[in-house]
Amino acid sequence: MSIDVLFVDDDQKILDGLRRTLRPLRYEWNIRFASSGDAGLRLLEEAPADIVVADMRMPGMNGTEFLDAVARRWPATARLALSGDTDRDAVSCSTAVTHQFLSKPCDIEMLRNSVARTIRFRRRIDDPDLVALIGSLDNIPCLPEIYVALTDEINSPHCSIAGVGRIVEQDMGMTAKLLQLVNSSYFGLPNKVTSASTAAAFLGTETLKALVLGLHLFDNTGTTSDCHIDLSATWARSLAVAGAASYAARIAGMDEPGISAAYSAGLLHEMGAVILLANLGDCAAQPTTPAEALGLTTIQHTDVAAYLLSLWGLPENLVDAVAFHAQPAKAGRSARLNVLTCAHIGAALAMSEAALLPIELDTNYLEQVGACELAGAVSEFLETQA
Amino acid sequence: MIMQDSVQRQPGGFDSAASRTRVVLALIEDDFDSQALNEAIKLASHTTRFTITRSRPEFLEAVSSYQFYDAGLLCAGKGSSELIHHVWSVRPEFPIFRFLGLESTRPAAAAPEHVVDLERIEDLAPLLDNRVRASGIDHALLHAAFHASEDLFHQIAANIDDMLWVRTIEGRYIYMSVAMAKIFGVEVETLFSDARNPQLKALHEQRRTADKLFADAIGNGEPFTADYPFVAFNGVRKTLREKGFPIRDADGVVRRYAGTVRDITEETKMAQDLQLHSKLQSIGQLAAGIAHEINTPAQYTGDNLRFLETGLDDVVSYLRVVDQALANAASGDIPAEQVEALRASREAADVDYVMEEIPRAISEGLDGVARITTIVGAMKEFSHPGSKLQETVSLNRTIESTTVVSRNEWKYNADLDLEFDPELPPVRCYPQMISQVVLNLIVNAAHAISERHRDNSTGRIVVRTQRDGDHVIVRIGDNGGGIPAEIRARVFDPFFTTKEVGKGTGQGLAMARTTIIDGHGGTIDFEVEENVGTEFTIRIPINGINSETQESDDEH
Repeated sequence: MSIDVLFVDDDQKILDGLRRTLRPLRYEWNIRFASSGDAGLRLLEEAPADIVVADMRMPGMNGTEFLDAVARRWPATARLALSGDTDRDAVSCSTAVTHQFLSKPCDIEMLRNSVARTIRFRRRIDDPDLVALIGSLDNIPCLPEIYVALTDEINSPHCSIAGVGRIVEQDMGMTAKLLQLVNSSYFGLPNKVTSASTAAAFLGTETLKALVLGLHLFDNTGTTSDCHIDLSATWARSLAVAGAASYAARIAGMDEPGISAAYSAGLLHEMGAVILLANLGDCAAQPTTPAEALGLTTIQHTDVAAYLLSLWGLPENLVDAVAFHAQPAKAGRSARLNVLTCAHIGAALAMSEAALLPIELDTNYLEQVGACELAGAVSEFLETQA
Repeated sequence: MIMQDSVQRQPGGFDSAASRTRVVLALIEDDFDSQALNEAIKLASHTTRFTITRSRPEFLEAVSSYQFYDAGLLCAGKGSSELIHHVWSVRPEFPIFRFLGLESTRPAAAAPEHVVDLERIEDLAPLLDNRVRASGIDHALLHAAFHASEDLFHQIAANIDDMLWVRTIEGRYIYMSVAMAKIFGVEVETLFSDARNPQLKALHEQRRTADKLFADAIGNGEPFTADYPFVAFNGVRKTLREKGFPIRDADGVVRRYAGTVRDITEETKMAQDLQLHSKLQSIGQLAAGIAHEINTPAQYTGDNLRFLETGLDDVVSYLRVVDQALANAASGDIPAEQVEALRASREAADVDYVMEEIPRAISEGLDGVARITTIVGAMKEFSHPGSKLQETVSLNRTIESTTVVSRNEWKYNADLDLEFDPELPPVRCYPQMISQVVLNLIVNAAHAISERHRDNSTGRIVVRTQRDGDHVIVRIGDNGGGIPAEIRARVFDPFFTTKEVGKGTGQGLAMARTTIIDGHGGTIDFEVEENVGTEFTIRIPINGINSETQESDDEH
């Protein structure tokens, strides 16, 4: 099953270089090239692509316009920018239509891995409409209270980046969006960022202010509230799981990025459910619980979250932890104690009564990775917390 | 207005009680400058007020300028007869007393009739009284008024920031304010000494630039003004602005020049900082575009190299199979399965594709490296801080570099054609400033085009150079529709901009105008072809602006 990839760049030499260097992938990828946005759209009309990789600065139709057209007509197609731009504003502006931003010059291995990772979880979702829905999302709804707290903070004369960090790391929408932005290769960070507060600190208060207030980086429309579904328990559980998972990571002696990845994985582990609920459309007229509403669909919400986060280019260990937190043994990698283990323990133990899907500790898995004691310690910790 | 060395001056200046005091202009030359003489003068000062000069020019200047000395007293050595004659030729009525002093300095010749030789200074007072009674002019009153006026002048001169000087038309300094003497590292008294005085010579050496201006101006009696670099006596580099103007007598004849000197070091530095700032600003604005221009060839150069690496690996592994087959062939027939393996290996190595693509992969890889090199070179040339002095450069190259670094600003909107005069001579100019102006005009042209043509195929910017006698002309034309009639008169105004807030400062064309007109002695204007486009024309002299500040020809 080959991947359909379309490259769009106004510079023929770029296309020629890519064609040559991607030649060894000719049995894995079905590659097409277009030298303008218009030509790219015509090729997509002939046959859609799994992924488009577009230059940003092009005469006539520029990259943002091209990707915007793709987003409208082929929302299921993953949209990557491959650009020589170094202008932060340009990069930030394009996040609305770009799933991931790759910087020129981009090593071919990196391009190949990015493409592979981007659609890694897509085949797990059978429903093409759902794939299209996830592809068209540029945001996850934020909790309105947290959004208000954030705008209060960044409008305050005493605004501090630490204060902003404490706020954003409580919200899954903000966390996911910040991690998408900061992990784009434009920022050129040698290590993937897994913490929303680190991401905020990296951007700085002025950039954040411009992004939040000017570019509406975060979705504060509160879509879920229209559906009469009370998500407060889901949010509370997210924070509880995040706390438990990061506690586990700390006890297990992981480094700071590992601990923050465990925290973010805990926070985001039910994000797929929020996406699904937010996009149910005309749902129950009466108040209902998330679990009841979700019962309407048979979709695994973890797959939805995993696909969205990988589409957005979040760090792989974080995506894996979200994807497999309920069934860690299925991760299919050499089993060892990692962020996934911590997310699994947290998700199974913290506020389990509010879980959208029943999760039980996988004792075989825990034994295999040597984390039985760790689970016990987390359990004790949660009891003392209660 | 000479530097007065009044032995005694009444406090409060003008005093009617002093009207019986006599006023004597004395010349005391070095040979006579003895304790005894000074004592004698001090004693005589009870009845007489002395203004002491130390050199003959100073003495003569005072004699010819001021009417309020009762008499002159010469304590002068050799050649005093000549001096006496000189005084007589200027003011025949002026009484002169000559102090004979020591035996060794006694003049050989007897005094002329109108000169009284004195054996002793004490004899001066009674003789003087007789003379003054005869003239009936109250010189002391005049003298006091003069001092009051001079006090006023000195206080003004000492307290304003500008330095002041007065010179005779022969170039001799007859006044220099203390501040000015200080900055030039001379003592005021030195000004009146012999021209061979080393300090005075050093002064003239330092003021060579000013002296040349002065010499040029004196010919036609015109005022002059110039800025020039200067190293103060303490080694501090300064920029001075000197203005001179003629002082005419009642008949309108130029007798002297007076002038002011202002230390404009700070002002100049601020102007240069501003220029540098605008340079840095434009480098900052271009940086994103330049990075983009570099990242693009870096991408395809890397891709082509990577292709060559993997392609050659594959071909080499195929060649190994071929070698094996060759070895077998030498020892007999090649087995059928080996031929099959050869075919499979060839297929796997994608040999045809690799062989076909190698030449272009290499040439495009090299092309990428060349493009990066060109951009980096142009960037280096463009961002070079530039000399404060004019340089003789190839204007074509300067302009070409500017178009390279700014390529990302125009290439999405327009094609840019360079129509250079290949015979254009080297031009003496400030190349950094010229490139800044050209950059502004190109960016403006690209903006005009982007507003008019959405499709890049029709946008066109043409940059032309040509020689016109002893000038060069640079034209930058676009087909952006032309500057609208209603704003044509204002485009050179500072802070005038049609761009949205944050996009333009409105300084570009104002600065371009200053640069070309003031900085290069050239002209800049534009023509609009209605609904077609605008063409800016810059005209500058090939040999640079005539600047006195230019001391060396080339600073390369």
